[in-house]
Amino acid sequence: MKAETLLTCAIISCALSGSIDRALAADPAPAALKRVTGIGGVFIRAKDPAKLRAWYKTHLGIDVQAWGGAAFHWADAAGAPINGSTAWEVGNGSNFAPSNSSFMIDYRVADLQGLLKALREEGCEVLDKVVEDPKFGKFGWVMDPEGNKVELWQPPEGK
Amino acid sequence: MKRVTGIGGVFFKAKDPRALQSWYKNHLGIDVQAWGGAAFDWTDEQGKPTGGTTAWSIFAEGDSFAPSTAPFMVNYRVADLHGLLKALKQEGCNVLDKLDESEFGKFGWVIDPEGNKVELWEPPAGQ
Repeated sequence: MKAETLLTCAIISCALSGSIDRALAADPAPAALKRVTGIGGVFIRAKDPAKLRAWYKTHLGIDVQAWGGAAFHWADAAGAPINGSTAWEVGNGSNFAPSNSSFMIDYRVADLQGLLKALREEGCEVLDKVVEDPKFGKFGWVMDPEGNKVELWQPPEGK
Repeated sequence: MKRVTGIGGVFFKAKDPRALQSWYKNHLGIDVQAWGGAAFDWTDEQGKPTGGTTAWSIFAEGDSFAPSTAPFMVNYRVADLHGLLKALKQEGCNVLDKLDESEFGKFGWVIDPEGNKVELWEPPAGQ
């Protein structure tokens, strides 16, 4: 499928949800545990982060902050910002280790500790490190089978 | 001029897309659709969808993001695609000639200075 048709497909699949055939086998995940609920962020590794950030700021109008990225607030139907947000950052990628990927995606989860426990039981490569920050929420990491580091984020209540 | 207003999607390549899609479905609970991805609704404080979405998808390796060879592509929501593409061209950016317009919105592309393909998407009104 061509990249440019993706969002089209996403929209179609939303419109037809329930009637689209699933290409994949039935999900063995227990219904009780809610896992990923959204995209919390996307992080890009750059050869020259300062220069690339400047390009995105100048040409795409992204309000790049001192920490190297921006948080895009989700909007309601009228376009007013709501609490949920998706972060974006350009950096040197040192935080992607042990992955060598040039990007990392942050996924919003409802119950980080429950999910990490389930992933360990399922034999996934969960990293030992967990970060809990009263302001920013809880973070854990798992490696996917192709070596991408997956960031799992449980936002603080109401965020 | 208002330029990028949000993240519309994130797409990445896999050596074995089917296997990787299954992993994300089984272990991360992502409701992967037949087209290879999922659309996550933006939700308000009560968990109610607001109309906005962020798409996610896994692609096969190959020329999916051509002419970029990057393993990922980010889709950015924009308020005025034609105005932005005109400005980017005037500013000397590497804007691709191709445009896509349909009831699903308007799509254009620019290559960033490190060779990543940047997808610019003006959603239909109300989305």
